[in-house]
This record gives sequence, structure tokens and C-alpha cells, in this order.
Amino acid sequence: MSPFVLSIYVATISLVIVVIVGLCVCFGMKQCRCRGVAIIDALLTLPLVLPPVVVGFALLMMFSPGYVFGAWLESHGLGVVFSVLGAICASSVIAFPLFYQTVRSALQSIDYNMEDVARTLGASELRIFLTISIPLAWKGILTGAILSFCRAMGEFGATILIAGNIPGVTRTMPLAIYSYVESGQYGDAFDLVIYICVLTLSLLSAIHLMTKGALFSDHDRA
Amino acid sequence: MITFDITIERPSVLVKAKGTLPQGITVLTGLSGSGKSTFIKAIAGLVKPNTGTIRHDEIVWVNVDHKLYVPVRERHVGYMPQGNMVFPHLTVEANITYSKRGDAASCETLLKQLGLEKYRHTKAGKLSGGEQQRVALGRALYSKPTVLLLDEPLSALDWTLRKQVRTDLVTIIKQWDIPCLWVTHDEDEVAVVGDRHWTCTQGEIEC
Repeated sequence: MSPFVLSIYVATISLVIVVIVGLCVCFGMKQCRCRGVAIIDALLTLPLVLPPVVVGFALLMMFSPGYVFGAWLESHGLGVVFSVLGAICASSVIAFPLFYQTVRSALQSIDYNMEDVARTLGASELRIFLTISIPLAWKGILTGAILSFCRAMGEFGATILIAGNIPGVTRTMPLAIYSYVESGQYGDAFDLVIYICVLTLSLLSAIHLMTKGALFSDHDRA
Repeated sequence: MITFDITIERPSVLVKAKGTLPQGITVLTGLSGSGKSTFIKAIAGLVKPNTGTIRHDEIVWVNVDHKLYVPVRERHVGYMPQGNMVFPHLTVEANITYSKRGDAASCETLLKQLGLEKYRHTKAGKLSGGEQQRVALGRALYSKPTVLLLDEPLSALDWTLRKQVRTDLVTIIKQWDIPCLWVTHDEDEVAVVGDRHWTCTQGEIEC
């Protein structure tokens, strides 16, 4: 697979994982009344502020066949280290906090009276989340999804540690740019830089267009 | 009938209420921040009282001493909070039938009574303020609630619209014959809306 196609593939799979896990986590956090909620929130946000290399190292320790969990996965034919699965894991973990934080803020901005009315009508918390909270927070969910996709596309530090830089297997666009620069192929590196810039810029512009500019309108600022 | 004898501690006010909510429309007035909304939410099950009991006929909803607390979704109350609280992304029909306790016949009756038949498939968020209030009332009535709790139902409307919507709401509530607690800080509504008048002064509710 070419670096461009591989990056799209990894970012798309990561996006699906991030959205499904992210919405489940947001629902869980919304229901959570425990004292440790601030710590859980901080842990979920940690990959956003840690250097990606640190996240990559943690993942390497977790999935390395030299340790219990990694060995167990390996015995079931799920080798994560130096495989595309590793790149997907790294991208998902790094992109997750962007989705989580954006969606959490969007959910918090919904008028709680709306959910209270649904409760008085006999709706379960899950039904309220699916039929009221998610539709009303769709702009935040869409923004979070696009931001996390872009972040997954650009993931480098964690990916190189856990998935390596194997041409055709785990060499995503950022890794290919690094390799081209290292070997003096500036022209090829420049091409990929243009690709990644155009793609992410288009996606970020799409946020504005798809939400009809509401995110940045004067009304929202007020 | 809802019978209550409760206290609710809030940072700004201590709400004390003792009485019985009979059939008809009861108007509860008081200044902003006096504890009216807190009281109505306690009846609905959205706020837990600190002491006391709430009963619906022979069924105990709250008994703090015995740590008995019937959750909000099992109380079958009709609740309209302040503002236009329709579900804007759902159609008028989907709003009204959001509760699974009602039936198709009730929905048809309500759409007719509320004058919303032509908006059946329109997104509720696209309606005017007065129409949204009707949708919210229809949604509350659809499940044939034990009690109707309206928290300043006209507060989101301008003065010209209030009079008409008020008349419509009162007419429909009386047709459905459900005990109703109508909270407002507008003294003018007392005579027009209510069968009786309660007041709330610094958390003390006089029934």
C-alpha cells in the first residue's frame, strides 16, 4: 500500500474506533456520579498532552510479545507490534482525546431541562442519549470526528515506536515524509506534504461548511 | 391527589411545603429565586427533598426517613420547564408521542385540540414560540399524567402572544381534567388561570 492510501486506511479505521468508543465513554461519563470522575477524565485526555513518543512507548510495553498481554494477543494471531494494527492502535489512542473533549463539551452545552423532560416521559438514560443528546450535539460530534481523523492522519511519534517504518506495511504519510527527508528525497517529501496539507485543510473547511458556519458565527460568539 | 410535606435545602433558599394538590389548576406565585421551580422539580422527581414525604393517593413517592424514592420515570408526571423546551430535531408528532405510555388515539385528539394537525410532520424547532408551547403541552398530556407541572409556561413568549396561548392552555388542561400546578411570577395570571392560588415567599409555600 502506498503511504497515502495506508494513511487514509489507518485514519478511517481509527475514526470508526474513536467514534464508537468515544460515544460509549461519553455516555458512561455522563452517568458517572463517582468521586474519581475527574481522574478518569484526566486519564482519557492524557494522550492529548503527552508527547506521542511516550504514548507509543506505553503501547509498545502493553502489546510487546515479551509481556503477558502482548504474548496472549500474539498466540491468538493478533500481532500488534510492527503491523498495521499497531499503527491503527497508535492513531486511535492519540486521536481519541480530541473527539472525547469536543463531544463532551457539545453534550454539556445541551440544556439539561431537555433531558429532564424526557426523564419525566419515562425514557431511559440510554434512550435520552440516543434520541435527544446525540442529535442535539451533532455539530460537536462531527467536528470531533473530523479533528480526530486529521490527527490520526498526521500521527508520527507513537506510530513509529509501535508499528515501525516498514515500506508498504506500516509506512504512513508522516513516516514516509520522514524517510524521504532522511534520504535526501526532498521532492517526494514535498509531494506528500502537499497531499496531507490539502487533505486536512479540506476536511477542516468541511467542518465549517457542514455545520453551516454555526460554530464560528456571531450568534455563537455572543 | 398529590400530598406533600417536605423541605428542600438549596444554597440560596430553604424550601418548605406542606399541603395537597387537588383537581383543577393551582397557581403558585412568588419572586424569582424563591424556590418555586425547586418545589415543582421535587414533585416531578428531578430534585430530592431533604426531609419529608410525597404521596400520590395511596402510593408513597418519597419518604426520606425510610429512604424511599420513586424515580422520576415511574411517577408519570407531565412536566413543562421554563422556555421553549420542545425537542427541536423531532417532528411535532414525534415530540407528542415521545412517551411510550400514550396511544395513537390520544395523539390524534391532542393534535386536533392543539391545532397542530397541519404541522404533524414539521420539525418542532421550526414552529413559532406559541406553537412550541402547545407541542410541549401536548407532549406532557399524551401519556395521561397523574399531575401536570408547568414551570412558567409562558415565560418565553412575548406579551402579545401570552394572552392567546394562556387561554388555549387553560382550555385544554380543563378538558383533560388533570390536577395542574402552574408556576408563575406574573400576578396577572392568577385570576385568569387558576382555580386557587398558592404563594411562595423565601421558600415558604403557603397552600
